[in-house]
Amino acid sequence: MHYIASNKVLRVSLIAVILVGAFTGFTLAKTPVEMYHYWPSGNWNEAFVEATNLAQQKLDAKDAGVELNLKTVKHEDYKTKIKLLAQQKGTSPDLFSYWEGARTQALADAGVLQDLSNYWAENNLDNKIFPFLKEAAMYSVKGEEGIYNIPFGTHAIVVVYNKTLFEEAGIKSEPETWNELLSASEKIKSLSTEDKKVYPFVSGIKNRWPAQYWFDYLLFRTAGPEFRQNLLKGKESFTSPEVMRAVEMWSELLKKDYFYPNAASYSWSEAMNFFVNDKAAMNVIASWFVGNLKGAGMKPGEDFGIFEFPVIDPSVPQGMYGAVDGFAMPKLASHKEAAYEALNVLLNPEVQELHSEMKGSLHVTSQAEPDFGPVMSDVNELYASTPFYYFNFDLTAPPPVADAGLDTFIQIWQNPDNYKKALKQLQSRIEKENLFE
Amino acid sequence: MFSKSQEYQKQKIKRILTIISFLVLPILVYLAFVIGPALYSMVYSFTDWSGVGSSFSWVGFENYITAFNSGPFFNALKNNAIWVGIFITVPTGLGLTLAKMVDSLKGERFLKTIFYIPMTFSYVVIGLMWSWIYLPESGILNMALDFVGFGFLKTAWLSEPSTALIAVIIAAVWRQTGLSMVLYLAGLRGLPIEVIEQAKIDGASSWQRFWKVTFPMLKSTTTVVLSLTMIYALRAFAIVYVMTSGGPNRASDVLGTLVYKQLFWNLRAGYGSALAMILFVIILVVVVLFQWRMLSKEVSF
Repeated sequence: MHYIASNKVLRVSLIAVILVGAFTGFTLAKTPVEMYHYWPSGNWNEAFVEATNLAQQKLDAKDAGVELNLKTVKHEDYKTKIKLLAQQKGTSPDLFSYWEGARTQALADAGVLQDLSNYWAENNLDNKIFPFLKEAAMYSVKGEEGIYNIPFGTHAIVVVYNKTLFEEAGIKSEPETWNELLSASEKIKSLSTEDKKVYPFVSGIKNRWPAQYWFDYLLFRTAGPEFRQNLLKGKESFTSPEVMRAVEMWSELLKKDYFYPNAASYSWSEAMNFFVNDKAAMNVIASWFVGNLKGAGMKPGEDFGIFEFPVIDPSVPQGMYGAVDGFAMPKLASHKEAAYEALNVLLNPEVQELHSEMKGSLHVTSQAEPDFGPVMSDVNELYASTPFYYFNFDLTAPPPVADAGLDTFIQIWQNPDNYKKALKQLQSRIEKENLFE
Repeated sequence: MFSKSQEYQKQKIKRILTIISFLVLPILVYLAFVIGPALYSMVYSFTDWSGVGSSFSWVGFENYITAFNSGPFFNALKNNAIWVGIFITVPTGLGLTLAKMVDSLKGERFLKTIFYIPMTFSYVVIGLMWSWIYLPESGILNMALDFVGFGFLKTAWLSEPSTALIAVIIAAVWRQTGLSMVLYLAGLRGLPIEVIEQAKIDGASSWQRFWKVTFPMLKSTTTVVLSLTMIYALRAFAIVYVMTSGGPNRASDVLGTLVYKQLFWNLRAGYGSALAMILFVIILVVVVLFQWRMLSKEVSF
């Protein structure tokens, strides 16, 4: 009898211990935040991994009970895969990196993304994130304004120049106006010898998108940001005098053989080799070139510098554009509260500083003060004081228009004499296929 | 007591059930992974679905009308026709020539392996290899042209609209030739030697023996080779995507790359599905008509 009773006590105690253990275990377990991103290799990956480690330390320090789990997918595959993952319960991440602009708009329109406006307001992000980025991060879905992608890092488009070639050509100061740029280009061209040809500009347009940088800046500088934005909303025509004028200027440069030949054979990074080897002096490119040139052994500030795309019409507002990476949250995310905590630490100034310094990208919060090297600090100076900041052509225009437009830019690049015909064909295609709808 | 015919019937039913039991699983898999998605694609081709989310509207034949009014669609179709034209002649002709050579030479195994090696590489690998060969400044092709004194022919093969398509097709032909050769070699080995010997005794020259006797007897092999090359030429995608993505300015675009871009770059899944359906119908019609015509006159020996 006594034996049976003690056995019972033992069993009950054992069950109690298991239950208490399990309960404590559950309460101690951290809520996972599944985060997908498209920086799977190189210093971009390292920068993000380090930034996330710091973010995790900050979460642990405040006992948030959140664990950040990173998952990477290669850049091109990511564009396809993340859309499939984000719209299915069970595979949906809690946060995923995504390009601000038309691509986010498409996912928001399809009802896949969580509106983060409340999160933005509750966390007072108006006072943390640069105001020009908020304007860029607003999306209109079914007539209602919302925020669907929280900016995390950006790159601005500038002109990078080869200091050795500028010095050899006797160019004393960085060009500030269009005429100064043309004059510098002529001086660079005159450096050519029979053995070695030197070109004022280089660009690798194998993947099409670097060609848009010329179109964008020439249009911004001649027709202004309002016209440019309206053009990419379908309210203006690609055959309008404003577009024709900008593209004519571009075609003049191309006809003068100012660009390193066979641009369509090279990616942007392959084309930078000609810059490194002193065969080309300038490139209009996003600030990620800094890491590329450093990797090729060039010293920022000593071997290369940057300047803002020159003023063409002083009466037109001057500003910048570029690409913004942000974090979006699927509506089907399983751990939304934990994901909000994660966003908070990702926007922490120290995390932003670490990420920007390691990656060579620009931060999004005004409190962060990254310790940039010589060239990045110049980019940052322009960026932090820009009166406006928009997205690249292919991030602003709806995807089918961006695709057709990029094809047209290649057509112009390869046959600058026929730019009018190319623009007419583009406009006709947009209308025939209703590409803005 | 069963009668003999009842026993036979029972055996027959049992045999049919056995056959069905073996077929059920593959048919289910085929329905789930081939027919099902194809039907889905057909349904989506009548919608304006973006490919994301679950909302869409029915648009009837609008996507098909857009396709038949679209310059890029006809450009891709034209490029596919060029692919087919080159693919049914060059790799087939080369494959047959190589097979005949290898068949009559010593060291056949070694040669067969050499010619078959490209076939073991994926189109992605072939695409990357040939992209390097075609590089304007450091590519082997331009360097070789320089070396043999044909430097004036040098060009940026993949970035010149006039050469991009043909440059991609040549890379694909390089791979496809190995397959044609192996198929023809198998065909040659299966031919009745006495018929060819008889032609020799009758005084036919070696060319006459090949053209009048051997080649007609290879008709079923030719049907297989041509069907395979035609199907590949019509659904060419990976090598084009890797080498040019259809550029520059759509010069090398084919229906496969156009469909991909509409589905995944432009978020026009409805339109992309319509293009895929058109491609499917083209392949079906071309291949079925071709096989029906070729096999209706099957040679037996």
